[in-house]
Amino acid sequence: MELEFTAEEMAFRDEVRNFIETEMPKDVAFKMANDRELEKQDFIKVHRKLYEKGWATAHWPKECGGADWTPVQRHIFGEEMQRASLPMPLEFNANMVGPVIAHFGSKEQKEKFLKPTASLEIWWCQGFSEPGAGSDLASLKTTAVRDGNEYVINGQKTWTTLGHFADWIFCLVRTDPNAKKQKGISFILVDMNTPGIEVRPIITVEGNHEVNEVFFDNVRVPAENLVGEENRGWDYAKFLLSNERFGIAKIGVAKQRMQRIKNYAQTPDANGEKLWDDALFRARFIQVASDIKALEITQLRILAKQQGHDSDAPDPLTSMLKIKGSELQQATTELLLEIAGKDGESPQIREIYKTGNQDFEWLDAVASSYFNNRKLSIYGGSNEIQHNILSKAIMGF
Amino acid sequence: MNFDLNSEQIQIQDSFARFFADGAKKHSRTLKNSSNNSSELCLAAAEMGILAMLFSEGNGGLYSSPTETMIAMEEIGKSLCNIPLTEIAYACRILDKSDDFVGKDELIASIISGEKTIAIAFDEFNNRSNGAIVKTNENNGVINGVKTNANAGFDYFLINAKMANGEIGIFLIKGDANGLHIKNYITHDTSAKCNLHFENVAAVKICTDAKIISYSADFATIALCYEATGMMRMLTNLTTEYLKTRNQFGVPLSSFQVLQHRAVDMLIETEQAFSIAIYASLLLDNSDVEARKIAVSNAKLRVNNAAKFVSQQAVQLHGGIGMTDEYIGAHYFKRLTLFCNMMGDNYFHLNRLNLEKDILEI
Repeated sequence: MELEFTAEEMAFRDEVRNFIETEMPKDVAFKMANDRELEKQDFIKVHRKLYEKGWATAHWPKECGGADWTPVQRHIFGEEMQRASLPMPLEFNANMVGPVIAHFGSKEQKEKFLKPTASLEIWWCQGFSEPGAGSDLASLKTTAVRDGNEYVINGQKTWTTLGHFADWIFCLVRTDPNAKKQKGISFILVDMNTPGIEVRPIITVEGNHEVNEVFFDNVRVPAENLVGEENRGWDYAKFLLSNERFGIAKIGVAKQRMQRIKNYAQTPDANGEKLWDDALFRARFIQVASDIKALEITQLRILAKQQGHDSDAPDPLTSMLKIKGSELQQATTELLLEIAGKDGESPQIREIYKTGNQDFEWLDAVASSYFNNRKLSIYGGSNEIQHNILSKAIMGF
Repeated sequence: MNFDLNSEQIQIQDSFARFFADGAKKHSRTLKNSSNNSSELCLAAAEMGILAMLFSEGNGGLYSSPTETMIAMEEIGKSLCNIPLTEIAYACRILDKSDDFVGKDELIASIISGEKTIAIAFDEFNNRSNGAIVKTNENNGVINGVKTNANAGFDYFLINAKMANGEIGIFLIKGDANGLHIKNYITHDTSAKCNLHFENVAAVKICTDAKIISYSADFATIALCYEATGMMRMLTNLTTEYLKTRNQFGVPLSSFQVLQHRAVDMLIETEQAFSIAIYASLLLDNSDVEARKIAVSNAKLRVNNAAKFVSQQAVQLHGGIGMTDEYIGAHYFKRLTLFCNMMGDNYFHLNRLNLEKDILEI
């Protein structure tokens, strides 16, 4: 048993740290560190820098622009990015559609899409969920009907994250209405500029525009945009989702937020008192911290197993990381909300006080971040779905 | 980074699993009289080399890392074998690092061989300080006071006592010393315990170094946590199997989603507890004492929470049968309940973390 990383892994970590320190935009990190919304350009700035370094898609197959990273390297990279409050390479490109095209796409699709997907010249969004197909994704109803060299798509997608920034959308569509549920689904790539597509914003509970509805009204897509075989889309989607769960616990984010909570709690209030001196508060803080530490080790145990077997195969235990990781992140936003108290009740609070004091830069986003982070236990397969997965795969129910 | 046991440790694990499962035939905590003739169990454990693993080479032992002891503790937990290895380990780790005293080498040799037994006796009645405050006192080598929850039938005890200068020292006591009156009793988890009443009992001072005492306490705390994770693993498995075989409403209980999810939560708690116990065990011999203390208290807190959840839900999911003395799960439940109070309860460890300068190491 050995807790430490190897010398090579430590050297890699130092290289990542050094790169982040010298090359990464500080303004983006500042926004992230204060739980503020990022703009399109913020994501692009970070992603492009990583792309130039060869790190945006380092986990892709080597022949497709990957760097053959080990699971541990991939973990270290994620931890360091989160520790520095930076957004990961755009998930839709790097972890979702990119690997699907790399593994299942045609030669032409690889040539056309892989490079701009890796470099974020194309911004992708995900067209999976529908109003009637959330946790029960396979009940999706959007249809694609073959008409000569084209498919004609009709239907509606929803919860399309950052769809208003996107150039292309990858969709699950029903190509065989008579087949049983999962069997009749295909995976297709659609240009967002195609006539018949309409994107409408959904404003979420914290008041931000992050997700969208996407409507398809007789949208004609070249048949060559279908990935892999017709009616095998469900298999590709499962492959994609297994990639999505990698690093889903986002322990680096939880740790960074705990550090901030501690800093804020140690700052004296108007009466010169510190919340940190309240034993009840510290007891709550410690309970969350010990659970985060346990989850960090759980993640490393799963990682060490993958590394030992030299495998990227999805471990059903990653469902555990999703459940606990989301719960703990939510716990950290809850603690922040408590620290801010009534001072954190308005998203415009920064404008009002204009103290010029950076100590209070965080106040305005506290409640928004708390509201927004409730999504964590819902998306990516809700925590209840993750319980179902563990019930089947581990408990054998 | 690697969390696998090496091939030697895997062999040790196999042989310990057999040894404690075998020992549990006569000494399972499911049996009212599991502590009868427990000295033969201690002797057999010594012959397995389990006591030698607690002493360094310089003292004639085989200590290489905490891991070997942790493997033993996990198997003790799984098998419900009634052997107080935590209290033994606590005493042995102190003795291994103690001052020299007349007869030390011979004493250690006799403990390693199993000829003699030793355990700590630190508890006192109505005193929840986990060793921080001690009423038992020592004056000119003579002890007066009362220790509770000591392991009955042991040849030697290490006790902590307040010395004339106000500091706490560790003293070696013979179980049959003059002036020592012993009252035996059995606890809910079938441990044979006793209260030690000291009336001018002669004792040998062996250690006054608070660093050694706190290291040994931390070692024993994590050892106990491993026993608990072993129990939780068994209890989760037992519950999972029960849900699959018990039929109600014409279907197995495992077909009900609410019960499936509860069982998954038991698994998650068990894995989280195991993770943090591993982490703390790997920091026990770390030179960074503060990091060790934080890791150990974090671990005990986290494992306590898991122990409560897993043991309570195991009883709940078993229904009426979980309430019966006949059912093995009920005995895991009892031992895990007492576990939460041993080696510092949540209040103790929360307070200890509160005293550390940097609770959150990042």
